[in-house]
Amino acid sequence: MSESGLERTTETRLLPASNHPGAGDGLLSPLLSVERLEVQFRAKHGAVRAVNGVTFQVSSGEMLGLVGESGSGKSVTSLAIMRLFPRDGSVISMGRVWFDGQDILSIPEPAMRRLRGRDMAIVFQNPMTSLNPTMRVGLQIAEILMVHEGLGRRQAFERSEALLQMVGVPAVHESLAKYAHEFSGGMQQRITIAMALALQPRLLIADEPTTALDVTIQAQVLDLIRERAAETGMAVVLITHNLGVAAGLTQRIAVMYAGLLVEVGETRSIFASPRHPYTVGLLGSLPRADYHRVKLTPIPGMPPVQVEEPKGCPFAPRCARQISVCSTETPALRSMGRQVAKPSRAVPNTCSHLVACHNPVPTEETPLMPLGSRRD
Amino acid sequence: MARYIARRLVLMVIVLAGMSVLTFLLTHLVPGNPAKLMAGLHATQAQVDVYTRRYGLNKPLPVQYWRYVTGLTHGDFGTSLTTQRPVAEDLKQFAPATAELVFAAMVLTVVIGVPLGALSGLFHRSWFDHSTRVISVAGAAMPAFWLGMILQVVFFAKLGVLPVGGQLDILSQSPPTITGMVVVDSLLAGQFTVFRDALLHLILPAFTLAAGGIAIVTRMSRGAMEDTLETDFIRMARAKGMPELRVVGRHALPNALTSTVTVLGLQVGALFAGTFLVESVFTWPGIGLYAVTGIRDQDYAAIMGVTLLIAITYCLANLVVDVIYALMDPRITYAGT
Amino acid sequence: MDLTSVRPPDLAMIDTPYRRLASTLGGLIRNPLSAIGLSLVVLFVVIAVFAPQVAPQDPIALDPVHRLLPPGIHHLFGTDENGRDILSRVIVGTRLSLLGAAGILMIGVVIGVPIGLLAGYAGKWIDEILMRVTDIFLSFPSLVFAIAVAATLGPSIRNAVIATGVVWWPWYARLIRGEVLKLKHQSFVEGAKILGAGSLRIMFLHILRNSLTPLIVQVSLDFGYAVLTLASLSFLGLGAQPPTPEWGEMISAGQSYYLTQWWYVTFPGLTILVAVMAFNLLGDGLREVLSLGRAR
Repeated sequence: MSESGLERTTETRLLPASNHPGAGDGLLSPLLSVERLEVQFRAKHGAVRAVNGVTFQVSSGEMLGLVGESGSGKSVTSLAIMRLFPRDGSVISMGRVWFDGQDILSIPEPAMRRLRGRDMAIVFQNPMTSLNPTMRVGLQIAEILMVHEGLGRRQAFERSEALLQMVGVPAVHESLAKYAHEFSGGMQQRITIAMALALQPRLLIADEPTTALDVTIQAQVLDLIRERAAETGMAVVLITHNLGVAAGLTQRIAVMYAGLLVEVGETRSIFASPRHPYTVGLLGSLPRADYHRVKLTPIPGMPPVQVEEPKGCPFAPRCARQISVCSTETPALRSMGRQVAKPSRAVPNTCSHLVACHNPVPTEETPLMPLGSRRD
Repeated sequence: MARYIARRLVLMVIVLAGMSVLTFLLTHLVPGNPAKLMAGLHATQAQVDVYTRRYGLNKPLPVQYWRYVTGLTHGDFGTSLTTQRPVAEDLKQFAPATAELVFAAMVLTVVIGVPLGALSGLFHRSWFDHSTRVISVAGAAMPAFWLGMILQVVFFAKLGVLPVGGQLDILSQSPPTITGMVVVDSLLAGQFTVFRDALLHLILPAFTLAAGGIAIVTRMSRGAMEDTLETDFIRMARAKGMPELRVVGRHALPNALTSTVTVLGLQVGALFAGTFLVESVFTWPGIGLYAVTGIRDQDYAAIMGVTLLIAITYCLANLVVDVIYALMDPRITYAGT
Repeated sequence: MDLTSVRPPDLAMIDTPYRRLASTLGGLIRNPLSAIGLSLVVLFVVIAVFAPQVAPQDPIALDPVHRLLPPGIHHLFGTDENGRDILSRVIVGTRLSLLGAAGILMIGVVIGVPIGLLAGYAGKWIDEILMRVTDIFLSFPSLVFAIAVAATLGPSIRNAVIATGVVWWPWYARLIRGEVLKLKHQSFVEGAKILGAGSLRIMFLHILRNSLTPLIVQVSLDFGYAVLTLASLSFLGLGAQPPTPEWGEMISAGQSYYLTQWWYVTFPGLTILVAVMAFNLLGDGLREVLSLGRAR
């Protein structure tokens, strides 16, 4: 078992970025703490495990990237945090999600409803379908202020106008009276961001906020999110399948695969020395201007659909570094780098580089080493 | 919007012209002498000749059609054999009763069908949903004339709580004719006992006429509600912390209703067709009963007059429904076809 | 998430008509509602075929002594004003109702399918004209138009079937035209063209064969409605004429008696209700099974 990376210290600075004062000292508890979250979808014959025990934290002012392929469970995780599953018992969430000191998986629905939109907000992937097609956008923003703040119609619309101004929608007054289809995709997403930010939430979940948009618009929308986060100090969970999107914005990145976290660490650390073969593969399928020597390498195969309790590493069938133990034991997240704060005292994986792998990639290997394919 | 309606009206004129061709061909090309058909089975040769001359039945078909159409545009639907009056006058007399019945049935269809379907979609797979589905499956298969008879047996013959037919009790004095609709007229005249009597007479026929439509509308709005509740914008409304009542009532319902409205247009046609059956069961003095009497007396002018009137009303109703639909769904632009 | 869809496609299931029929039936039986529909339809068909043998009594012979008897051991559905057994008349009427409905749909298909094929395949002004004509037919509420046609043709069951069929075809023309437009530019049609197949051959062999499934689904969904329409025409005196036993005609004949002799119209009506429901359930089930089969 090659664990040469364990002894080495990563060369990146492990302290979080400067606008993130409290995360590293172990005294301030994180705003959001997800502990052993499991989500199962009831199907006709048994259950599909979408999330299989995920643990991570986000502090105020921090931006965490939750990265993985579609089907990795990252969006399901965000819906679980917001408790947005249908209430017919077809989806079960287990574990704990601490938000501001209370376990929001167990609070009653009315209390949860008051948190949604006020303290925690979400921006979805497709702005066209996220906006109600038959309601003027002004009311869609204003109703948040009316319901949560008890504002009158007039005041609510005045504030909505200011919100639209803030997110950069032109001709705000006229825009209030328009319908969603009268805006471009980028403007629609700005409107949903205005809705999310209406009450200055402490946590914003952005679920693939730019995937449905034109490439030229993507950067603008990401800039807007970064700008608002920096100004208000809210925590942001940025969900994306694109490590490149996460690279420029986040302080930390958590990589998900088949409902499990496979690698968590500071963004720089992840990019400088990815340790999980899957993360290496994700980086390999990323086009980047500053690397010219390798061609894009897709990861062969598809993420599995989890029906039974996972046995062995879920990535093993697609992994070039597979060893015998991989098919029998599911690897746990373990620290790979020097720790700034001891995990027992503080939040366990806020500031260390954690990897769930029996045979992690040694640090000296370049992140862009093409993955060997076991199938083709 | 005005241009959209204008274009729809032009299209409607084309359709109406086509309809007049169809009804013309029906009465002029069927086996047998159309003059004989118009004059009635037991007419003498002299009477037949009168019709032949009056309608130019010895002239070529296009000429006959032209006469027929110009007659129609002047409100000349021919003369009824049964009443020996111009069909147009008969229609004028009997249409209000049918309008009253169809309108009441339409209200029942919407007022019962939409909430039933919406609740069913909301409480998807609950006992309420299941029983609603059983009712709507049965309702769609119900022969309207039979349902009317069964309701008469139960509510008139057995329970004695509702009248068996007609618009008013024999002892009730008809209110002064203003709209021709007894319920409305009695209310306008302030005759509340007559109004109550008229309403009681309206309940069974209106419900009988509505039953099939209720089943269809329930089914449609259930599906629409179910689909709408699974959309992203409903998830978004919940993510914004909107109370469930607002999520359902203000976000889901209006969107679900938009797709239900299109079905209502088709229902208008079904309701008019149903008047033939329901009016004859309840001896409701409308155009349906007039046509059914016409069938028994082989009064072709009457039957064609009613058919055309219903077809025109149906076209107009669909136009109205399309306009309502366009108003409800801002995504519809009037520029497209 | 349906886990069964994860299974690899079973190659053996594809393409033999017998297997396809078997799997369709299997799909129908698995859904309790369509299973009920299917068994009721089979029952009605069996009754229709063996009506004279199944009927306990002569449906036409008069028996004035036993007139208007309520339901009892000897007459499960009671008797009518001429002492005829209502059950026997309902049983014998099954044949006429089912045959009539089948006739309506057949006329609809025979007129509608070629028109739809032609409109879709020829396109341009032929399509335009045919579709406008279709629209005009569809601008009449169908039952109203059927009544008008039937009334002109004269009251008889044959004329009622013809009238309703003539009103029915536009729906099939529209359906088939839509299918043709979908299939027209698919590779197997283009291939047949390159190989020199004639237009007629392409239309009827290649395109029609591939639009059969939606047509079958639509026809099965319509069957119940055809039964209902025919009964309605008979009720108005435009269909079967007395003393021929037919469901709608029986209810029409009972109009003078039902308020005091409730059974007279109750049982024929219930039979219509059950039959239409059975065909509707079967049609719904077929739609689900066949469209699922196509989607896979």
